[in-house]
Amino acid sequence: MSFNPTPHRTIAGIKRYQGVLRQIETSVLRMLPEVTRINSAMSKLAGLSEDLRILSLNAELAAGRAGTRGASVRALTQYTRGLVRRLLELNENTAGQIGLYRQCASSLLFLRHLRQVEIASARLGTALQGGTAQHAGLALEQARRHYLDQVVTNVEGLLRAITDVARLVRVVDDVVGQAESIATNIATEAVTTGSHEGEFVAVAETMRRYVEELRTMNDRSAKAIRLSEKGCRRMREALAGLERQGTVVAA
Amino acid sequence: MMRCFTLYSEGSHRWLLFGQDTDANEAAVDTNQVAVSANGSTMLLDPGGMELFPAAMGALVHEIDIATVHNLFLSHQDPDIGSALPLWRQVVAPGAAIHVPELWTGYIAHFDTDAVLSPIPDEGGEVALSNQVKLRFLPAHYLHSSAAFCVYDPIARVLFSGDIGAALLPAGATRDIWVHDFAAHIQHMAGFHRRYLGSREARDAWIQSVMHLPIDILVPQHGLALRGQDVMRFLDWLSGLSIASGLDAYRRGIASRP
Ligand SMILES: [Fe+2]
Ligand SMILES: [Fe+2]
Repeated sequence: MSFNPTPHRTIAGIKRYQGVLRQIETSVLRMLPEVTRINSAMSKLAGLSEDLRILSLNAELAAGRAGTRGASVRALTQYTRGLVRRLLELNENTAGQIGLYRQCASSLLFLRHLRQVEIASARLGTALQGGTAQHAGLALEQARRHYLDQVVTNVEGLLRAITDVARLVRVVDDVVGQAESIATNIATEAVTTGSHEGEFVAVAETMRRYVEELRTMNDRSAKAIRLSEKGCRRMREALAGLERQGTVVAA
Repeated sequence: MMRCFTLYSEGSHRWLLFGQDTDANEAAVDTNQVAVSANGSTMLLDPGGMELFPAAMGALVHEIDIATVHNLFLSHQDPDIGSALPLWRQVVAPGAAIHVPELWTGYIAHFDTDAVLSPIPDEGGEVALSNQVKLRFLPAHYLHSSAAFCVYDPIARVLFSGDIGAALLPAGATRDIWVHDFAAHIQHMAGFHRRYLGSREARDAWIQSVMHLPIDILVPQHGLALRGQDVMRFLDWLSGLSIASGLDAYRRGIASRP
């Protein structure tokens, strides 16, 4: 391998490269508040799911006490518990929420290192001749590759984490839709339960309130996820552009 | 532009100092990066902070083949000493040894968790650059850092003294690397030594330990290098200096208010 700083990487080229790095850094910094939004919204998920689980458990017990009159309500609350279980399981397995911050922070660190390497390359420029120049140029080129790989890996990880959270949001959306119609059905069925009517109407109302909170949480995350995903894809494109630049050539 | 000064040169055996970067951000304290080479092997002493890396590397490669840097030395844990460690590690010879005070390994890892560090025990150590040139790590604990080392080269008779002998000079001015008027130079060293050095016992022990060494040149990590009679003048001045001035703050400080 040999390194020739002049034809492959002009000073103007390195300057452009630095410009792209700064853009990527800005994108990551812009993404951080979105990630915060996703995290703070999603952190309510476990609590709300738990509330919903306890509500349906109590409703199920009440339906049991109502005997045959409560049979249809019981079927509905059992179904609700199934939904909640699905939600909690998925929430537990979504590593994405933790991953988001970490990936953002590490890519900032590696971008920072990469930028210093690029400034060093620009300083080296065309001023050097001979063997030491080759070694220095090659060393910086390898350092650049190393940090660029790290940034690419991080951005890929970030995208995976976002996709992960996006899947969770879709499931929540699904659960919200179903829970809403269950609440409506419980309210309808409540009329047929005689003296238990008031109790089941209250269950239906509480369930609607929880569903509404879940929906608000989800809408907030969904928007932040869309923005983050877009930012991530833009970064990936920019990085692919950088990967094509300033490669070491085999002699 | 960072400048390069030759402190000592005898065949392939050289002591070079890189510093006085004219483009440096004034917010960061000015530092000296030192390279010792012999027989195609180089050790970088206190390679410097992250912000400085491009300038330092740019200056270094004009004089030294980066592939010959087989050793890095960090006198203590401060960020101006080695926060650029992860960057240097990417460009120097693969597997280069990184000598750091044993006490600070876990802390220096905060700059670079992937670095494999060679701990220097409290007593010090020795690393050979060639058959003849062997660099000694001499204890300078508590001056100012709880674990710190100087580097002594018995052949070149050069002592790299880390933060001992440091001077904070007015920014921007380009100057020679040598002290020419010791008496006039004291004003630039005094404040630093009074406040940063905390232990009189350590100061006395250090002076005792280096007094008997033949030292032609003393080069600190900040400011200017001393040579000839100025080395003794410095040791003499330091021995009588009132240090640990921060202790006054306990008296004046908020804790003593009614
Ligand atoms: Fe220090
Ligand atoms: Fe220092």
